Amino acid sequence: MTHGLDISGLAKSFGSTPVLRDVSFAVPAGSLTAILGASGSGKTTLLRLIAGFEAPDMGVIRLLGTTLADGARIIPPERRAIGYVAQEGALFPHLNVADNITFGLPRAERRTRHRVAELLTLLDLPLSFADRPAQELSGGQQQRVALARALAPSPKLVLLDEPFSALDAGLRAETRQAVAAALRAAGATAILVTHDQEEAFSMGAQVGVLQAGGLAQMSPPERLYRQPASAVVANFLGETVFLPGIAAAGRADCALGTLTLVDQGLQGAVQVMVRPEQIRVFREARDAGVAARVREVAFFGHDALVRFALRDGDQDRNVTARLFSHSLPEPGDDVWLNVEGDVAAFATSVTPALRGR
Amino acid sequence: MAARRPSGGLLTACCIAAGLVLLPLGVTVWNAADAGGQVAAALLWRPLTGFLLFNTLRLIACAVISTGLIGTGLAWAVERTDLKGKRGWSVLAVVPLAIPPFITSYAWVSLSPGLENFWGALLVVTVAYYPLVYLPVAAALREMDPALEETARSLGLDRANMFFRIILPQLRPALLGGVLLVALDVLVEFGAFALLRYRTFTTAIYGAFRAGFSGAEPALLSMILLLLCIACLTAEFFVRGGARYGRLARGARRRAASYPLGRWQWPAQAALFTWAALTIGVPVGMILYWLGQPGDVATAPVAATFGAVVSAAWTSVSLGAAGAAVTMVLALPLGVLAARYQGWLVTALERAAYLAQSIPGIVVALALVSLTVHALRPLYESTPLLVAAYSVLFLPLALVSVRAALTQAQPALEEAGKSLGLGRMAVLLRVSLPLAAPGLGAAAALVFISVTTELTATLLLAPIGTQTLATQIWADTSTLAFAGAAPYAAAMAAMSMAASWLLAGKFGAASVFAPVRPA
Repeated sequence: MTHGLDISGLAKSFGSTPVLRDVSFAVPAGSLTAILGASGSGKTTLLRLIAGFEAPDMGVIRLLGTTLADGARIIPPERRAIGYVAQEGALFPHLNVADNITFGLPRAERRTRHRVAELLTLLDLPLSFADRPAQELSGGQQQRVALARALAPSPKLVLLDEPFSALDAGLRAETRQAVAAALRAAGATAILVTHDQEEAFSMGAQVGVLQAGGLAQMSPPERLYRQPASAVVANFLGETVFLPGIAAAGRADCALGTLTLVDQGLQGAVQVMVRPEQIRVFREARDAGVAARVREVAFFGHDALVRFALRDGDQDRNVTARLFSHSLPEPGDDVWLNVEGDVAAFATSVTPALRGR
Repeated sequence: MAARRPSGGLLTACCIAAGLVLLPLGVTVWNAADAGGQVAAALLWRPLTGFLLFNTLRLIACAVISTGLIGTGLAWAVERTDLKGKRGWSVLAVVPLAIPPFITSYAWVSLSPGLENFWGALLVVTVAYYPLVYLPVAAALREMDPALEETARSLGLDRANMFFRIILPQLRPALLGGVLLVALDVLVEFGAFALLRYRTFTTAIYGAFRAGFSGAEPALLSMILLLLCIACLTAEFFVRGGARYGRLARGARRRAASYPLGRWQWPAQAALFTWAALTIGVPVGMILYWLGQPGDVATAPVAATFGAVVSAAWTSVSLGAAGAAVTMVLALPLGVLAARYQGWLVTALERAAYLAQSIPGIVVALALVSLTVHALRPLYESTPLLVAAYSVLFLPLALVSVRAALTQAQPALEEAGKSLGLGRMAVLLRVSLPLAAPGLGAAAALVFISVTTELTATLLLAPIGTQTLATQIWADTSTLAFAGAAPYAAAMAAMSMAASWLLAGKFGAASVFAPVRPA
C-alpha cells in the first residue's frame, strides 16, 4: 500500500485547551478517508493542520514523502499543493464559475479556461454554468464548483471540511454521489471530515473516529461498524443493545441466547453488543427464541425501533430491535426474539460505565 | 404588507416632505432657465467655468486617491494585523468625523498662510474626509469570510497576490462607495475652501451671490455643481446596490484572519501616531494655541467676550433643536412609508428625499433666498426659513436612521403583541416605540449635531443680528482674527465631539456614520 499522507503523533492546543492529542494515521494514495467526529472533537482542526492554516504543537505530517510539518516548523499552505473545500464552498463571490475553477492555475491557463469544461463535466454540472456568477448557484452546485476549483491544479491531496452539512437532505445525497464519483474519477487522495455517519460510511474507503481530540479507531467502514474498538465507539456509530454475558470458545452466553462472537479470542465476563437490526422477531415460539413482550414502538416510516422487555429471568432488561415497518407488533404483544449474525463484545473491565444497561 | 395601501394622510405628509426637498432644486432650475440660452451660453462659456471645473475635479481626483489609500491602509492595519493598541487607534481613526471641516480648515490656515493653495485644500480634505473611506472599508474587512483567504492560499496564492486577487476585489464596493462620498463632500463643501481661499464651484457661487450679480450666474454655476453632485450620488447608488457581495456562506462566523506585522510594528505605530497628530492634534492644538493668545493680536470685528460666546452657542443649540425637531417631523412619515410599504410611489418619494443629499448647502440657501426675495418676502432672512433649509439639507441623514429604527419594529412583532391581547395603542407604546425609540433618538441627535456645525446655509439665511458659533468663526477667520475665532471654534469642536461621543457610546460608531450608509 503506497502511503499518500502520513500523520504521526499530531497534537494541538488552543491556549490551555488540548484539541488534538497524539493523532496518527495514514491515507493510502488514491483513496478517500473519512474522519467522523462530533462537533468539538477536533476534526476541523485536524483538517486545518493538514492544510497548513495552523501549525501543530507536535507531530509530523508527510505527504508523498515530503515533510509538510514537523512540530511548529511548517510549509505554508500555498506551497503544499493540497486542495481544500471549505464548509460552505467559499466560492469567490466576485468571480464567475469558470474564474473560480481556474483560480489556482497560472495566468496563461486562466485565460484559456484550462480544464473548465472537463471539470464541469466531471462534477456533473452543465457547461453553461461557466459564465454564471458564483452567487447565483444553489448550495449543492456551489459545493461542486468548490471541488472543481480544488481539483483544477491537480492537488496531491484534497481536504473536504463537512462539505455537505449545509445542504438539505435530498440535495445532500445527490451532491455526495457526484463528489464521490468525481474524486474517484480524478484518482484523488482525499480526506473528508464529517459528523454524519452515513456520509462517512458511504464515502470513505476507511473511516476514522475522532473522539475528544484522539483517534479512537480507524478501519474500513464495515469492520468499524461490526467490530468497534470500544463500547464508546460502538455507541457513537449507531443504536446498540448491550447485554452482560460470559464468553468462551468464540461464543457468548447472554440474555438473548448463545451468540457467535466476531472476536474469537475473548474469554470471561463481557458486555455483548447487538445491533438492533440483528434482532429478528417471531409471533410464535421458536427453539432458539427468547420470550419478550413489546413495550413501545417508535415509527420512522420505512422502519421502526421496537422496545421489548424480556419475559424470563431478567425482567427489567430492555432490548431494542429495528424492524421494517410493514408488519409491526403492538405494545403488549408477546413475541420471540432471535439474533442473526456475529456480534461484538467487550471485556467487562474495559467498560464499567456500561454495566448498568 | 405590500398589499396594504398607505393612508391618504401619510401620503400627503410624505409628499409635503419630498416637495420641500425638491423645492430648491426646482427654483434653481427655474432661475437657470430664466436666464435664456444666449445669456447662459455667454456666462458659462468662459475661462472661469473651465478654471472652476479644473480646480474642483483635480481636487476630487487627488482626494479620492489620498483618502482611498489612507483610509484603506488604516483599515487594514486596524482590522487585519496584530497592531498594538487596535482599539484605541480604531477610535482615533473616526474622531475627525466629529470635527467640522471648516474648523480643520481654520486650524491649518491659522498655522500657515502658505496652505492657501491646492495642496492646502488637498491636505484639509484628506484629513477631514478619510473616515468616509476608512469606516466602510474597515467594516468590509471585518466581515470578510476567512475561508476565502484560506481557500486562496490552498490554491497557491502568496500574500501579495492574495491582496490583489481576493481582498481588493471584495473591498471594491466599500472602497468605491467611500471615495464617491468623499467626492460628493468635496463638491458640496464651502466653508473649508472659502477659508483656504481655494476656488471651487461653491465659493464661486457664493462670490457671485455676494457681488450682487443677477440671479442667473449663481443659478447657472449651481446647475453645473448640481449635475456633478447628482452624478456622484447616482454612481454611489449603483456601486452600493449592484456590487454588494453577500457572504455566500451562512454558517458560524470565524474571525477574519490577522496578519503579523513583525518588524513593521513600530513603523506602523509611528505612521498612525503622525496621522493622528495631523488629523486631531493640529485642529485641537491650534484652537488651544489661539485660545492662549491675546485677542488684540488680531483685528477681531467683535471682541470674543465670554457672554458673546455663550450667546452664540445658545443660538446654535436653539437652531439645532428646532432643526432636529422639524426634520424629524418630516422624516417620520417618509420613514414609515419606506419601512412598511412598497410600490413605485413609495420608491419615488424615498428617492426624492435622498436626492437632497446631493444638493449642496449653498444651492439650497441660494434657492431659498431667491424664492423668498421674489415671492415670499416676509420669510426672507427669517428663522423659519433657516430651519426649513436645515430640514431640506439633513432630511436624508435623518431618514436613514428613522427607516432603520422603524424596520426594527417588525410587523411580526406587532402581530405577536396583538395576539397577546394588546390594543393598537398598547402595541404602539409597549412594542413599536421601545424598539424604534433608540434609533429615532439617534436620528434626531445626528441632525442636531449637523445643524450646530452647519455654516453655508446659516451664513446666507440667518436673520440680521443672529450670530451662531459658525458665523462667528467665519467672520473672525475671514479677517484673519484667529484668536478671536478660537473661543467659538473651541465651543463648537467641544460640542460636536462630545455629542458624537455620546451618540457613538450609546448607539455604536455606526450611528455617527449613518450618512455614509443609506439603506
